Amino acid sequence: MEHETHSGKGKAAEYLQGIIVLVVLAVFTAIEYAIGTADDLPLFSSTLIPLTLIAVVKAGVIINYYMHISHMWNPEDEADEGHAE
Amino acid sequence: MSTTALEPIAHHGTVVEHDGHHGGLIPIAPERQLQFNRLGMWLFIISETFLFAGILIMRLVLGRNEEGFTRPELSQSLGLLITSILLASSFFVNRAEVAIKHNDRFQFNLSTFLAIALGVIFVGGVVYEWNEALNHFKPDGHIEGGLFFFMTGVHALHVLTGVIFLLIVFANGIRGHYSAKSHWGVESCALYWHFVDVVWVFFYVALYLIGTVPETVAH
Repeated sequence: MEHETHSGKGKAAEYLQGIIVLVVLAVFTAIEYAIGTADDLPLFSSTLIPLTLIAVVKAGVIINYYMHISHMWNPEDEADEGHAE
Repeated sequence: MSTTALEPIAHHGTVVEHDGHHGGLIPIAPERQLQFNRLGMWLFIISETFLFAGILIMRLVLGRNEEGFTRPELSQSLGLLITSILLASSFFVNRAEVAIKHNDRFQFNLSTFLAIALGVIFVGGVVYEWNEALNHFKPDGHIEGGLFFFMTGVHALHVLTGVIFLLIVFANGIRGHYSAKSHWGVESCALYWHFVDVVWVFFYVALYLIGTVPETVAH
């Protein structure tokens, strides 16, 4: 029973994390769109640098939270998420 | 019961490796096999990264003139729409993976189905964009057009492959092949799909947002 409760909480937390990541990605995409379609940028002479930086951050978020790259060298994390073999 | 490549055979300790001294076979622990599977998948992803990085560098080198970076004239709203669709599909793939980790089969099947639907809509959006673009420029007309069709074409092929991968996982899921303790097929499919999403994060910026439309391309 205790395990079920723990597992239920883990599931809700993981679902919530997925939603938060989606919102973060959506916000960054909106910023990208605003920068890319703006006529004049006050801080940058070219859109290359800010857009590349945002793209790198977005890729990092996906690789870390959706692709779980840390599981490659830290499989113990999974046990905490209820994914142990 | 027959097994396919995507069924969870690797988690039952049936895979063996050679014992170098005696020529015999020793079992590989399931946890270790999963690590091997992941390593193989990440090596595949890294090899694909070289391909897409090369394409991206090609775009940055060729897609410029004396005034700076150039890009083809494209529908910004459509670009934003298909980008959002692909991000949403990644969300549902992640949701499917979480669901199967917790044996939530209904949510797993539903999320996988929605991810497939969004993947198909994304490909449809790219095809629509091609039709729109062909009214203004051809793949061999100028460098911006060639880069656009090449980059979106290579990426769309990967999305199609991912959709097929998801369809296989969905079919296996409907038949109850995955469980909380055995779902490497789901995990590898999710890794591939998210990678395709990461590629589009950079391609979207490179194709739609960086640079200006040169007068020779503008209609």
